[in-house]
Amino acid sequence: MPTLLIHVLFAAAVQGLVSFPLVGQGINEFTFYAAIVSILVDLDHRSDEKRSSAIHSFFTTSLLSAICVAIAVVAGDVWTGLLLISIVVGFVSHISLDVTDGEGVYVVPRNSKRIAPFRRARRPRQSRRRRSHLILAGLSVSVLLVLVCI
Amino acid sequence: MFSIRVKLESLDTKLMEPVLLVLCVVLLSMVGTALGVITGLTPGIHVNLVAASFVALHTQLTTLVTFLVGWAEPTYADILILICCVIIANAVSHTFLDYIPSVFLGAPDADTALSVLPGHRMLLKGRGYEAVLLSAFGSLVALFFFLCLMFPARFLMGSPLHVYEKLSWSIPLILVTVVALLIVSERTRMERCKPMLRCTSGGILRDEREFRRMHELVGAGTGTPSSHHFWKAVVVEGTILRRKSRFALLSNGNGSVRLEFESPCRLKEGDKAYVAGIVEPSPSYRQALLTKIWALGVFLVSGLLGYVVLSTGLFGTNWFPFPSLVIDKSSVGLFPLFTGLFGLSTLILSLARNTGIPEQCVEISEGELFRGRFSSGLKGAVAGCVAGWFPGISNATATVIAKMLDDRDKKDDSERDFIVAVSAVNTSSCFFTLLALFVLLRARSGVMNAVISELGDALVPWTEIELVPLAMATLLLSGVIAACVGFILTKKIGRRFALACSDLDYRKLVYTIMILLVGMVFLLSGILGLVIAFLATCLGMIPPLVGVKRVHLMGCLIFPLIILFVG
Repeated sequence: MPTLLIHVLFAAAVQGLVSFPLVGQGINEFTFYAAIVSILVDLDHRSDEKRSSAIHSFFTTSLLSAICVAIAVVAGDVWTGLLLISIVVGFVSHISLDVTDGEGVYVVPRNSKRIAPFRRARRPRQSRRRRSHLILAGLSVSVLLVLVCI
Repeated sequence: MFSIRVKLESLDTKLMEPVLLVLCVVLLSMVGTALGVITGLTPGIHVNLVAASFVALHTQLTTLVTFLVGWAEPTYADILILICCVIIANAVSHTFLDYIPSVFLGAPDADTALSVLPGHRMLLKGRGYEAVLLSAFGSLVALFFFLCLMFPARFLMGSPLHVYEKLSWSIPLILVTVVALLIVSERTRMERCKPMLRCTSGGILRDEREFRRMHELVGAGTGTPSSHHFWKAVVVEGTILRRKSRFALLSNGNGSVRLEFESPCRLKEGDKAYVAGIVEPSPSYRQALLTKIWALGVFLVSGLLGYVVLSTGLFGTNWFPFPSLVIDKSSVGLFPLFTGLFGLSTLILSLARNTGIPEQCVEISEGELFRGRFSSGLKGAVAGCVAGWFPGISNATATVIAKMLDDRDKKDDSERDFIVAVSAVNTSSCFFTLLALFVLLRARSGVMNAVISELGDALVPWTEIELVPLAMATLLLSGVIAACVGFILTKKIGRRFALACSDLDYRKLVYTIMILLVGMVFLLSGILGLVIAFLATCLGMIPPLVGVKRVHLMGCLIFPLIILFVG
């Protein structure tokens, strides 16, 4: 599974791409909030491949995203909206990376069934996954650098 | 065509002939390297302390340099640059040699603190020399990557992109993110985990006959798996107490073990079962959360101690019965703090654990050892670059973050890669702080503070990318010479240490070092220093005892810095 640093870089890059068209500034405090949220999602991390279904689940992610988006729409303020979007981005980017890595995420809390695009037998080899993680980290850093320089 | 020129017009004074200047730089780099050997091998002496002493002894150093290079008729500006060459050569060679006492004596400084455990573990396996070789290799690789990354880093951080200036507002947020990263990435240590048996569908054996045959094949005991069986294949028999989809609890006369199957199994509660599988460590959620809470606690308490020591002006008054020996009051508190957190605490714990050092293997094929470790060196060099540019991100923190880029499976290999990365971070950070000095005109370490004090007006920024300032070019040359000589000396001295250490009485040696460190704390920071060192030692023993990383102790630097920026 991706390391926390890769989650952080990916979340920051996604948040940068989201906030740039909204406020014309790629890197702002919300980039860091998204990064911190993506770290906090792993608070339930026991060991490699072992996370709780309470946080790492499709249901929790959807529910949290829906609540945040609803509050953002009701508030109507760009900065409140960005704050809530950064929470959603941090959460969703983390969960989506976990899904695409082959480990998958739980469907609902307290359910052992996972949504995973790859079956275990077809799971990519460790070295290949590591390489893809490094490429993702490199891409995220490049996006962040471009956003800083714009 | 793009060409690099050295900027000679930076000083009003006429400079000496370039050939003579290079000869003088080589000579004084050797002097600095020799000093670096002494300071690197002496436990407890941090390179910043040596640099501060150089500033304090400016007049004597000027006389010495004039005496050594008088034949080249240097101007005063030349002498200032040459003094800085001694400081830089000392700092660079120190980063090579300081690993030797860390491995053989278990006495680290703040930069090598994290690598003590892997290095010490290798020493206890008779591979201490191998650890020293890996460290020297990591430092040399860092120099190579620094030379490759120097111009891109200058391009990014200075003009035209000015990334540092654009990100300087976010330093407290970067530090908070780094702290969150360090705490949440904390994992429960294997020895604290409960064993769990992972079985494939073929792991459920049919009857006792198959169980006996498997037992003979695997050669493992039939009792309940314990932490001694981690990552080994075992066969277990017992009764299924509880079952839930892919999980089951199996109990026999000796205790119970948790089973995890790759697919839902056909076993029912109350069934007699014979199972084969691999024993894996399985921490509970409670244990995992507790580890993170301990990490946060260690960070906050060390942060509070660091804040009290560094930000409340405790060392403004003289705590000695006689005049203070240290002129630079701002860094006095760091010495007892780091000696306690990383030095004395490690030594006390190693006294409790150590039973003697085995004979060390010194016949090692360097080619095989170094093969495939360039990537760790590169990661370390990049992490050192970050540590060199951004305040508050120490070398130790940068190393842990660099390690997060990918996690290797084989523990033994990861230990070696970690040593390479730690050394690469230390050396690369030393070079990048030099680069940051000439690009941003800001000192990022005590050594660069000393260079600023010595150079004064001779310090000119590196504004145009193809026009390298003379002072920077000479200091870089000095650093490269020190690195090459330091690499050779580390290998030779490390070999001697390895051959001699198995004959040493380890306990006596540790007691001597502890007395030396306590004496130095008293000499440099007085009674208050001893009190701080005592508190820091108590705090420094907590991480290994509760099973969290020592890097959280870096809160003593990060926390006051966050408060400073936020305040």
